[in-house]
Amino acid sequence: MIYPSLFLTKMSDFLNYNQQMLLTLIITGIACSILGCFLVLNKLSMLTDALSHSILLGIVLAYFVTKDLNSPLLLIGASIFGVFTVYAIGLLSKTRLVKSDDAVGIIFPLFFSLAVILISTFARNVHLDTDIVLMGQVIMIPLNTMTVFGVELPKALFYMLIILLINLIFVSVFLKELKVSSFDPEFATLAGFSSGFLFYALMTLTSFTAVAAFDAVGAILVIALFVGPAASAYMLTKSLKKMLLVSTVFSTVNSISGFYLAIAFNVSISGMIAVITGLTTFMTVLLNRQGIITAIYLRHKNRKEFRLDLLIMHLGNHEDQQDAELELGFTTIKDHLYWDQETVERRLNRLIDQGFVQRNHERKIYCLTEKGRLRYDMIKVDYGM
Amino acid sequence: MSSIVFEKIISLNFANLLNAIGLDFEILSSYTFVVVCLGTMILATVAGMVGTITVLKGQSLIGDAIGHSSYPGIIIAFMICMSLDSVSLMIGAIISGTVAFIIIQFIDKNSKLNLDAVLAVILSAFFGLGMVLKSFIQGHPVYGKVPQGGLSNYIFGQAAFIRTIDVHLILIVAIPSLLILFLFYKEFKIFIFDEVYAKSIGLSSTLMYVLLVLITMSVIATGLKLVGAILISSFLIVPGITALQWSNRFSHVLIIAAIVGSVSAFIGTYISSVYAGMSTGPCIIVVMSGLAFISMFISPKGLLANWLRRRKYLNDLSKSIFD
Amino acid sequence: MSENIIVKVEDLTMAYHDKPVLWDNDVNIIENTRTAIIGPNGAGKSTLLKGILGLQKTLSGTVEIMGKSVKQVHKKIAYIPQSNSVNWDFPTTALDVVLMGRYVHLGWIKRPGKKDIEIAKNALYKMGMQDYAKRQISQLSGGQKQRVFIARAIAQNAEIYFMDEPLAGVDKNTEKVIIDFLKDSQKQGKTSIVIHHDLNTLADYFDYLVILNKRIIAQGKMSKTLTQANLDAADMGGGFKINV
Repeated sequence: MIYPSLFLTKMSDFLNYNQQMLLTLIITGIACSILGCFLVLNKLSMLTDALSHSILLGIVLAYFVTKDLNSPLLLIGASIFGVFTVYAIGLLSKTRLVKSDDAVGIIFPLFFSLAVILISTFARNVHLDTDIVLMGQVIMIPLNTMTVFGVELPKALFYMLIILLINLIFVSVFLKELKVSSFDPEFATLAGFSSGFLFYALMTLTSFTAVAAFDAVGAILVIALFVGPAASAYMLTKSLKKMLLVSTVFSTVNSISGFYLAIAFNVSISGMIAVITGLTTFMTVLLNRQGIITAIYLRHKNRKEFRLDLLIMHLGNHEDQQDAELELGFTTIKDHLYWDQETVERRLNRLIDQGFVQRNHERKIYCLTEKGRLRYDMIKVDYGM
Repeated sequence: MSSIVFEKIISLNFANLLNAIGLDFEILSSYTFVVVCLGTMILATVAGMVGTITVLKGQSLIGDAIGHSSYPGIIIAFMICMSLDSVSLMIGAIISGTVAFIIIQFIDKNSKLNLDAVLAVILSAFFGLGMVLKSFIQGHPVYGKVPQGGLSNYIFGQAAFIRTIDVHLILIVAIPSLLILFLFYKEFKIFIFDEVYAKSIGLSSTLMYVLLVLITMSVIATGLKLVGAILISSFLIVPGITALQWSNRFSHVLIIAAIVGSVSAFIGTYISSVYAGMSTGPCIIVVMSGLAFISMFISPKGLLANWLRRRKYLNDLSKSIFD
Repeated sequence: MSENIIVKVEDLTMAYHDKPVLWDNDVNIIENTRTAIIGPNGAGKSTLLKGILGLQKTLSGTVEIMGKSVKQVHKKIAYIPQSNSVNWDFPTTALDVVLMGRYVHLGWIKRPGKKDIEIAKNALYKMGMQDYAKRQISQLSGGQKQRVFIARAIAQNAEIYFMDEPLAGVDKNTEKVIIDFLKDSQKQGKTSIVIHHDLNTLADYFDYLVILNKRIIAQGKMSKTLTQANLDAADMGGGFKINV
C-alpha cells in the first residue's frame, strides 16, 4: 500500500479538486500582481488588455506550427508573440503618426480579429473556443494533470509555480533597477540602467505570465489580476516593497473570496474574482487614507474653518478704512461677501462666541476683538502674506 | 465619344459589370447580404464620425473599456425582460456602459490612480460581472427556460444574424447621432480644440460632454449585436485615426472617417459572405486596420512622404555643400 | 481722462484644492487702459483671471464687468488662455481658429457666413499672419500660434481682452506685434488686462498695474504703483531695482 505512493504521489490525495483550483488561482494571482505593480507604476496597465487579447493570435499561429494544443512550445510561441505585440505598439507610436493610446487601440483588436478569423476558417475542428479564451476554464484545472518528480499535479499549477518563481527571482534581482526606472526613467538612463532592457524583460515576463495564466483563468481575469491588486496597493503604500507585499495580500484575498462566492452561487469563477477585484479596488479608492471619504471630510472641515478665517480677514482688512460702514455694516456685510444674510450671521455668531469678533453698536458694524486682531495677524502669516 | 461609352455601360448588364470587377452578383443581391451590409455600413459610418471626436479628445481606450463594460447590461436586461428583444438589450447596454463611464470618471478624479489602471480594473470587473450573470442564468430554473443562445453573440457579434428590425434600430440611433454632430458641429469643434476658451465664451462643457457620451454610448450599444463588446472600440477609433492621416481640416476628417468606415464595412461584409465561416465583425476590422496602415504609409503626412522629404532635404544639402 | 471702472472685483476669495489662492481681493480695472497683472509664482494671477471670467469657482465675492455679471457680457470679453490648454492635435487651420472668435456672436447651431470669414481674414492680416491662413495650427511656431490666438480675439470684436501670459515663449517680433496691437486697441477705446512676467518691459508696455501675491499689494497708475516698496511687499524685489 505505501510502496507505490513513494514513487507516485497524487496531489488529489491530500487536496480535493476545489482546493487544487484555489491554490492554482492564488499562485496565478500572486505571479500576476508582482509584475502588475511595475505595470501600474509605469502607466502600462492597458498593455495587459492588449496583451491578453492579442496572445490569442499567438496561440493560433503557434498551433499552426506545432499542431498540438498541449505543447509547451505553444506557450513559448504565444509569449513571444505577446512581446511582439508590445514591440509593434511601441513602433507604431514611435512614428508619431498616432498617439500611444491609439496605437494600443488599433493593434490589439486587429490581432484579435485575425485570430478569430483564423480559428473560424482554418481551425474550426480544433478545440480552441473563443469563449474559453475570454472566460477561462477554472473547473478544468484539476483534470489536466502532469507528473513531475513523481508527483501528479495540475498542469496549470505547475506552470504557474514555475512562472511565479521566475517572476520572484526577476523582481528580487532587479528590484533596485526596477525601482529607479519606475519612478524616474530619465534618471535610470543617466545612471546607466538600460530601461529599454528592463522594459522588454518586464514585458516578456508579463507576456509569459499572461499566456500561462490565460489558459486557466481567461483573458479578462488576467487583466484584473495584473492591475487590480497592484492599483489597490499603490493607493495604500508608500514604499515599493510594501506595495509588492500588500498587492499579494489583496490578490490572495480576492482569489479566495471570489472563488468561494462563485462556488456558493454556482457561477463563473474567473468572472467572480474579476468582480471582487474591481470591488476591492473601488473600496480602496473610497477608504484609503487620502481617499475620497477622508477628502470629503477634510474638505468640509477645511472649508468651514477657511470661511471663518476669511471673515476675520475681511473684518481686519476693512476695519480701519473709510468704507468700513459699508463693508462691515450689520446689514451690508453680506453684499460684500456674496453670502446670504443668514449664513453671514451664523458664521459671525460663531466668531463672536469664540471671542474673535464683537458688534460695534455705535458704528453699526462688526469688528475684531483684541483676540481677533491676534488671529488676523496669525492668518496673514499662515497664508504667507 | 462620351455618349458611346455611356451607351455601352447601359447596354452592359449590371450583373456582368459587377462580375467583371470581381464581385459576385448573386451574393450582392441576396436579401441577407443587403440587410447585413446596410446595417454594418450605417453603423461604421456613424461610429467612424463619432469616434473621431473620441480619438481627438485622447480617449480612445475609454471606448474599449465602455465596450467591454456594456456586456453585463445586456444580461441584466435579458433577466428583467426575459426576452432577447434587441431594444431592451440595447437599453441595458447603454445603462451599464454609462455607469461604467461615471465610475471611471469618479475614480480618475478622486484618486491618484492613473487613468489606464482605472480602465483596466473597471473593464475586467464589468465584463467579469457579465460572465457571472451569464453563468448564473444558464442553469437557472426560471431563466434557463427562455432561449438565450443569442446572448453570447453580444461578445463577438453576429452580424450574419441581424434582421431588418436591427437595421431600423441602427437607423434610429444613427440619424439623431449624426444630426447632433451636424447641428453642434461648431460647438464640438471649439470644445475639442480649446475647452477653456469654449467656456470663456459661455459654452457649457458639461453639456458638450453629456452630448458626446450620449451619442458614443448609443453607437456602442447598437454596435454590440453586430461587432460585439470586445471589438466595438475599433469601429469607433480606427476610421478616425485613418482620416487624421489625410486631412488637416476637421470637416474633411469627419467625412473621410465616414467613408473609411462604410467602405471597410462593405468590403468586410462581402468577404465574410463569400467565405463561409468568417465572422463579419473581425473581417471589417481587418479591412479597416489595413486601410489605416496603408494610410500611415502613403498619406501626405505618412512615413513614405516623410522619408522622401528627408531624402530630398539631404540631397539638397549635399548639393549645396558640394557646389 | 475719466476713470471709469470697467471690471469691478469685490472681496474675491478663491481656493484651489482647498488651499486658498486668493484672499478677499478688491480689484478695479480702469476702462481704456493697458493693465498688467504681476506677481511671483503661485500668486494666483491666472486664478484671478479665471475667477473674473467665471471659469473657476469662487468662495466669496462679486465680479462685475461693465456693470453686469460675466454671463451677460460674453460677447464683449475675449480671453486668450495659456497655450497649454489647447489640443494641438486637432485638425484645423489658422483661419479656422480665428473663425472660432465669431462663434460667440453666432449662438448655437448657426454657421459662420461670408461676413465672418471676411472679419477673420482681416484679423489674421492685422497680426501679419495672412500668408498662414491655410496652415495647420500645430505646424506654426510658438509666436505664430500666439498671433493666431490674438487674431481670434480681434475677430471676436470684444471690448476687453484678458490675456494669460501672451508674451511667454514668443519671439521678439511677435512681442512687438502684440504690444502694438494693445496700444492700437487702446486708441480704439478698448481695455486689456494682461498677466506679465517681465519687469524690465513692464513700464514700457503697460500704463496701469496690479501687483498680486494672494492679496492685492497695490494697484493703480504704473508710475505710482511700480515702486521698490511695492515689489518688495510682493516678494518680487529680489535682484530687481527700479530705475527712475
